[in-house]
Amino acid sequence: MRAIQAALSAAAHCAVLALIGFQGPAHGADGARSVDIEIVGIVPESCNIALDNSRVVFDLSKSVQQVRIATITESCNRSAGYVVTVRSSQNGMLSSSAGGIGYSATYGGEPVDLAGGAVIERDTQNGPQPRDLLVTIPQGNYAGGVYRDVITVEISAQ
Amino acid sequence: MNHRLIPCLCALVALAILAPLSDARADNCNLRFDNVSDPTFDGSGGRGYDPFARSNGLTAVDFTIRNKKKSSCAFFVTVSTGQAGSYNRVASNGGATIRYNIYGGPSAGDLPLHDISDATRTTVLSGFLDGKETISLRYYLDVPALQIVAQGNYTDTVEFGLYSGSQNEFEREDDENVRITVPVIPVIDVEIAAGGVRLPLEGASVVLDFGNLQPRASRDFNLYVRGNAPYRVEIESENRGVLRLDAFATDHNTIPYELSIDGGRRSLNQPIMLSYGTLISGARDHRGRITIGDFDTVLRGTYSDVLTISVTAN
Repeated sequence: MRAIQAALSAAAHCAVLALIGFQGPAHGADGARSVDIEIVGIVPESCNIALDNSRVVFDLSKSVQQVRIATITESCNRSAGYVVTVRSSQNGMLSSSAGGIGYSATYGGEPVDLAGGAVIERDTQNGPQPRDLLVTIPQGNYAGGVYRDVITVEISAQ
Repeated sequence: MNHRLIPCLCALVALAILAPLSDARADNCNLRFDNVSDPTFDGSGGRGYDPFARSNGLTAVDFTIRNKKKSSCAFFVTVSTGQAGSYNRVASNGGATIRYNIYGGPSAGDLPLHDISDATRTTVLSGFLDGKETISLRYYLDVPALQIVAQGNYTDTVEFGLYSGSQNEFEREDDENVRITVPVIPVIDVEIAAGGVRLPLEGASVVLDFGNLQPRASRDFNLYVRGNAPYRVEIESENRGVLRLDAFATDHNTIPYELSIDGGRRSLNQPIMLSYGTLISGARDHRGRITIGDFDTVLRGTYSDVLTISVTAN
């Protein structure tokens, strides 16, 4: 009888082990459950120029010395910085059918080479800042007419 | 074979079978329980009953019976109903109850052990002591799965009765009150839903992708919490409430955002801790929303932060 009992007991052990062995994965522990949520978004590259004026008319019979023609605000969010180019369509000449008048310009306080075009490298650490474009036209006895030039300021990521 | 002899042979066989029983008469026995302890239901993990587990296993409990006389003795053990008053036994904790039962074997077909008034051969633990000796017996505690009850210790007291003889002719030898404890562990089951996917919180990979960032853009997520204990939710932002471009840029590299939980705006300048009471039935839905703050000129690139959300049973 005891032998039978022992056998039954051993069988019971096996059955219990089998039950435990086939249980599903541990579930519902009382420790902390945690998750990391990654919040992610993209800021695209954006390089822009804003200016407050696009056309200026001077009376060339009077002196034009460091006169503001526009205030330009550059913005570019490229971390490596950006490049601003300043070009004159007529290489620093106001021209008309009657002839040409050479002139000069500064941008942000720095002289720019209108004949060859100026290339200015900027970093983005300081953010957008307004800069004045100033021109100087030598006074002279010019032939009558309308003298024109177009200054192009361009921004591009490096 | 002479047919008239058949009744005589049957009588001899019957006498032979009855002989051991006659040796095990109740008055030849002096039986006592030994090592009868107050058992605790272990559950699968050894810490108690997990209400959300598909199975909690069986807990085996051993005890011994000793015969103080030299004569052989048949015996059986009965178990009372406990506080339930029936064999649908329950353990209680305050006003709450949990169903459990006591079995003589681990098989699904085993019947609960019964009290003397209802005892049958299959509802008692029985055996035979061959003289002055001790024998070990085992019973099993089972707590049916998926009973969503509050955490705590659920108890019942049953009386184990020890009888010599058989269910037809017996004598009470000993009894013991046994206090059964079913510890129900605190469990919190949490799922998170975001971006159209609902996942168990633990191990989930959750990304709230805003695409091109725009001020006031928002994304929602939900925490579904069910459990049997009070719990707390802790939320911590790696960047203290801002999306950051990278570790190198020192300026124009952060975008603020806001977190609201259940409609209330929460500052992420420091870790948030929210406490909630027990919700036994159903799941509590905590609605979260991330809203991008205003920003102007920031460097181009991918901005991110990591929110760590932890839910812990108290």
